[in-house]
Amino acid sequence: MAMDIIDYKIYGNDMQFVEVELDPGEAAVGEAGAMMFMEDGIVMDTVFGDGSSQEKSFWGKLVGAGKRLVTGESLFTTVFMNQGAGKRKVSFAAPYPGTLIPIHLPDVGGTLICQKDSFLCAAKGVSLGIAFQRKLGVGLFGGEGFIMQRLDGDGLAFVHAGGTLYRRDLMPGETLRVDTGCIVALTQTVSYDIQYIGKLKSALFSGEGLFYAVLQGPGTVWLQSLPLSRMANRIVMAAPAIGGRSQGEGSLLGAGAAGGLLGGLLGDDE
Amino acid sequence: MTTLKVPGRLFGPGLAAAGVAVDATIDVFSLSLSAPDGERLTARLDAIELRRAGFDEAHWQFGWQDGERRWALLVSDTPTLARLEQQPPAALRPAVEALVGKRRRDTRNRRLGLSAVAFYLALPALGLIALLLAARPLSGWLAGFVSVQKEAQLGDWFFDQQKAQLKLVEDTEANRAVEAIGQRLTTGSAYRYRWYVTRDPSLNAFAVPGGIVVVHTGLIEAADSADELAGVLAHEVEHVEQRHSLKAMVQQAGLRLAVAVLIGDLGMAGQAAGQLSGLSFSRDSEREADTRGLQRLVSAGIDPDGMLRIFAKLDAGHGGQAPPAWLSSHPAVPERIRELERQLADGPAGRYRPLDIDWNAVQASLGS
Repeated sequence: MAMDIIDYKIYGNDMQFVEVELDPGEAAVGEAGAMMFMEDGIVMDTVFGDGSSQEKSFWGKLVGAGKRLVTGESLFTTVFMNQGAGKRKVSFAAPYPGTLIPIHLPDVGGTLICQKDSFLCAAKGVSLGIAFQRKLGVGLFGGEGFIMQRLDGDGLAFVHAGGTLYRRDLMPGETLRVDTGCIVALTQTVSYDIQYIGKLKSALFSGEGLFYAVLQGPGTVWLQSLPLSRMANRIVMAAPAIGGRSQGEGSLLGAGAAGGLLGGLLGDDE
Repeated sequence: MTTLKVPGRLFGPGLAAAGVAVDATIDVFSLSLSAPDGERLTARLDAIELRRAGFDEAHWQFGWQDGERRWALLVSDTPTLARLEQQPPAALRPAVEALVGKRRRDTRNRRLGLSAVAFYLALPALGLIALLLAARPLSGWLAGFVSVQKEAQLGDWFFDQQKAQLKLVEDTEANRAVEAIGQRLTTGSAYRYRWYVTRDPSLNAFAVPGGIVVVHTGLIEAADSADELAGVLAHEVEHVEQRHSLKAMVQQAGLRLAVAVLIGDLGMAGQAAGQLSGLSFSRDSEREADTRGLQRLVSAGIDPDGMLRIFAKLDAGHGGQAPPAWLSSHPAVPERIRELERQLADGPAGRYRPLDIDWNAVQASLGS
């Protein structure tokens, strides 16, 4: 598989985007809708499937597209090719606050298994497949469901997830217990299992749910500090328009309608 | 087997997190390989810890301790693994057998789990099917909780609503005949029967829950004797006695409730009211009313042949057209007649007392 070697630069801290520099003839694939800007000379083309190989039969493409659909991506990928004379840039933005990490697939053994919908963009030639969770318990309670994304190839891929991303290398036999839902990506050699939290009291009142995800080395895992659903939950809880509390906006008069009104009268800076 | 070459990835202290590709060798006693820095690593086979590893458990992990250092060799090369599984070196055999056994158990557990999940998902559908199959006994059982008084109240309410559309004939010879035959048929019943005759040329009669039986004048005119009228009355009386209307109502309400629970509310309340008047008896109910009606005639000492004759008349009377409402649900009339004849032949010959009714006077009293 011919991979394109691309240079990149990541901008921002918590709401990032990546700017990818393409040599003439090089291409990158992006998740549909992730493109932020592109320079003259870059041509966008939408392909059915993941664009990893143009020689695939129609049926092969259809299966590949179906797999993409299952992993929460759209049926089409967009390929950005530099048809200009010099180096040109295209950039892809993360869809929600979080961290964007570049992963050079050969460094992780050629295959990366990652959370659904976490793929942002990659060098053309990286293929997107599904990794089906064969353990029933993990699929049901492991926090990532039965379907994860599998990135194969020998190029660079960009993965995005919520909060701060933490990379952890696990030694052979080393285990890490992780809150379900915090796993972003793991290499193929990491064993992924679940473990009952242990005590009924903890299961009910610790707020950690019934199970931990257990990751056992060797291999590398990436964890996110703030899964999107958790942040979304807090936002909804704090949204006054749908009955939430105006948390953290309290004036001297306290939170609530009066505080909101006074705040609006006194300090509306828009 | 002397030595086996095993391609894999080596993980350990000082190595890249993604491991390093190495070629290991397994001989009779040990596993040995050259680390990337040139160091020769050797592990005794009986000291190796073997397990499946990786996201989809496709790798075999050979783990061993070397002083403070812990090494792992992950192998995913299928031919090598197949070879190891079939002909493991003697020292590695227990570990391989344990691994294969665990894999078999895991597979079985996964199948069990998947079946359980599939069963759970299919449960609503299975429940509905079971409910449909058991609808009849279940509705009979539920109807048993409704007291005769309540049923009579329901019937009265229903009949009051219908009354306006009926042209009731009162105080004629026909009323008295119907009443007399009815009394004889329903001796000892828990229901308090009320008998009505309505002016309607169609060959029909119907029963309302709680003991109200209405006969159309057309039926009386078509019948050639009191025995024939008695046959129809016996059939209607059994609809009352067996609480067919009530059961049908319970069944409909129950099914609608079940469907609403499974699929969602479909405007239940509105429909339920509308359905009351459109109740019809099931084929089984009709058959039951036939059979038991026949028995009722026999035990009341009325010649059951009248029932057969009126059935035949109904069949012939509107040859090819739709049968009258009280015979409407499916078993075809000839089939029902045959069935009744068979039952009559099987049963003991009864001793019949003729009905003391002047049939000509009855028909004349209607003065059509």
